[in-house]
Amino acid sequence: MYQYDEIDQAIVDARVAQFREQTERFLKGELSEDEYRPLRLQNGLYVQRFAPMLRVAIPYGVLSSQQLHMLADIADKYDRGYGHFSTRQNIQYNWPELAHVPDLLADLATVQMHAIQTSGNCIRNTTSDQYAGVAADEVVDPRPYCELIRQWSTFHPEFAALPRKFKIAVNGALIDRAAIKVHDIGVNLRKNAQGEVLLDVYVGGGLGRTPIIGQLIGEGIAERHLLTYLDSVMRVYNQFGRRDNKYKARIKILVKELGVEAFRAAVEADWVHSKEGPSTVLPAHLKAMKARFINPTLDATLDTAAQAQLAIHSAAEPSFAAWLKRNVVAHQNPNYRAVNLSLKRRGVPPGDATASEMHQIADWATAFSHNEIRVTHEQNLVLPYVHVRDLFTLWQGAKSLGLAQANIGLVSNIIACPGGDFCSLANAKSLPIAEDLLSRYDALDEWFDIGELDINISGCINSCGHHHVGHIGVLGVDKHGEEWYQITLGGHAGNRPGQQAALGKVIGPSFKQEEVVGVVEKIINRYLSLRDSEHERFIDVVERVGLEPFKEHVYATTD
Amino acid sequence: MPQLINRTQVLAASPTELTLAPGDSLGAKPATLPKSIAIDFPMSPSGAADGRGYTLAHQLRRDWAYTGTLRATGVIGLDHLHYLARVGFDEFELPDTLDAQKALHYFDTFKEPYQASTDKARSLLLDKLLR
Repeated sequence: MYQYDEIDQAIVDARVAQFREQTERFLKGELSEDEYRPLRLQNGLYVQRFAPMLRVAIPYGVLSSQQLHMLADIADKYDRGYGHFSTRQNIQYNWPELAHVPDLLADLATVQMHAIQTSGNCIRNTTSDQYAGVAADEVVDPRPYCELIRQWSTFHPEFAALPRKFKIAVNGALIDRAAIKVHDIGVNLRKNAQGEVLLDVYVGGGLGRTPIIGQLIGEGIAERHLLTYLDSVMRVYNQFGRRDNKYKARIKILVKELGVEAFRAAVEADWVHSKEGPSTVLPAHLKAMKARFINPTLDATLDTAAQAQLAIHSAAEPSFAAWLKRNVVAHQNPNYRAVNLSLKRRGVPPGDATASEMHQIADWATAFSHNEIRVTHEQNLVLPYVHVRDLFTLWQGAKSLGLAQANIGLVSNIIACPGGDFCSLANAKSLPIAEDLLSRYDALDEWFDIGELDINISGCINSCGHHHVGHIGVLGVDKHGEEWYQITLGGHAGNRPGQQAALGKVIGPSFKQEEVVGVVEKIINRYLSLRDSEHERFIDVVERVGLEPFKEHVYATTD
Repeated sequence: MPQLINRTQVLAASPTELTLAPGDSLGAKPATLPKSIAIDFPMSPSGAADGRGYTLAHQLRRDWAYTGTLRATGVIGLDHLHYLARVGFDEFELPDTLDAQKALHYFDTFKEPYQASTDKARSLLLDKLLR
């Protein structure tokens, strides 16, 4: 993973000192609440229902064992012994004291971590594929590009007071696991026939109140233009993005109102000033940046003995075989696998992990994954470098801690925001819905029988649970002061190579909390009766038959 | 798209001092440039700080090669001075209550910033890779 140099460290240390001084001025009354709010927000600090919530960036989802141990220590020292891994490769602490946050940030800085620009109207944490650098279907490793974007966007002087928040995602694989088309900017990395890396830049995608699929603004741009082109897109947005209405302030509205052609023309008119200028990323820069990612040395010769042993364990232990099938992912090196540790279990909010679990996972990463962990937008953790010979031992350990549910991509891998239990923006609670569904769908056989299915729950239209791209989406809405839930079907962020993302469609009037599980059950049962075989996935059936058969089934029997 | 206001005519009429609102666009470079330009930083109707002035300042220095005085006015405080200076401002209208000597300290919050901008033609984040 990327190693900070002294300049990177100096910038993070300077931020800690800056925030400490700002917080002191606020606590002394020298800064008003209105003046302090944007400053604390750009350090990921929200004031929530019960306490401040602090969001810490995990840049493009990559963590070392040492960093995860620190996140666990922070949970113990400043919080209530747990943290929440979010859908944007961040970790959130729900209970820190404002006065202690500068010390917390200082602790983070000792392990090359920070909370810079994790909130506020600025460029947020850049996200990417959780399997970056190891994915079998990878075309270009996105991490060096992500790190260039991270540094370029950190304290960019022009873009610290944008019309609204701004999220960038980067994909370099055949299947887009970074959901780039529902981001403000999505960068797709690919290679041309000569093997040169080109960028396809999608702009104006997003979820939230007005979900929109991003438009291709820059096609086949040479990689050396990465930073100058992004600068120009940001400049056009900063200049022309709407500031009269916060609900129309995202770049997606600007692209929609201007039209793709006019937006592209505005970007290119600005770009002529910087194209090929000093911010051009030369091959030597990229080579040096790639060298900063110190990748582990992996066994190159195929370990046939370990493969044979794996087959024996798999045949003898059906639940291990199920885990291999769902949670263990092919690797660029045939001796290795990327392993998902599921944070979806009954009695625990999706994405939450205790300090002791984090310590244990960090220890497994040290023992089995070359000290590295990834955080996924599905709110799980991944060990990206596990040798085939270690899979069984790791599984036994994960099983003993309840972290080996074989449910990745299945009905119980529920994605949910913290919702009304914690978040002051929420219209409704998310976690009780997730818990009800986890209780209803608690059996491995049933998960496997239903097959691939993403359920996403958001407690409000800000869509932190990404319900628009859930195969089944659940959205909390406020109806005359009561919590109701709207159901969408057919959303996804692109399931197959080259497939366009799709936004879920609302099936009809919303439901009360106690009705939601029954409705989801009806939808799933209808799918099971409609599919032509177990190979036809839920999302395939919705695409084939549309919403009507589901609506009929749900509403006919509700009355 | 917001309405574009061409200030060239205004400039011709008032060659020494010009005040730009954040929504203004530069248009063609006028024959004579004023000695001093002020850019206002109001609050947006949406309640967030209006950051268009940062880009406008950058464009003034870049597109008009403007070398005169550039002043920031409006809702600015100590914590903005670093960014304002980086994009090309050299005068800052701060509230009377703030100590000017103390304010000087805030220009150096980040001694070695990553990106190129008006103050630095080169990109440190790239240059440091080749050291």
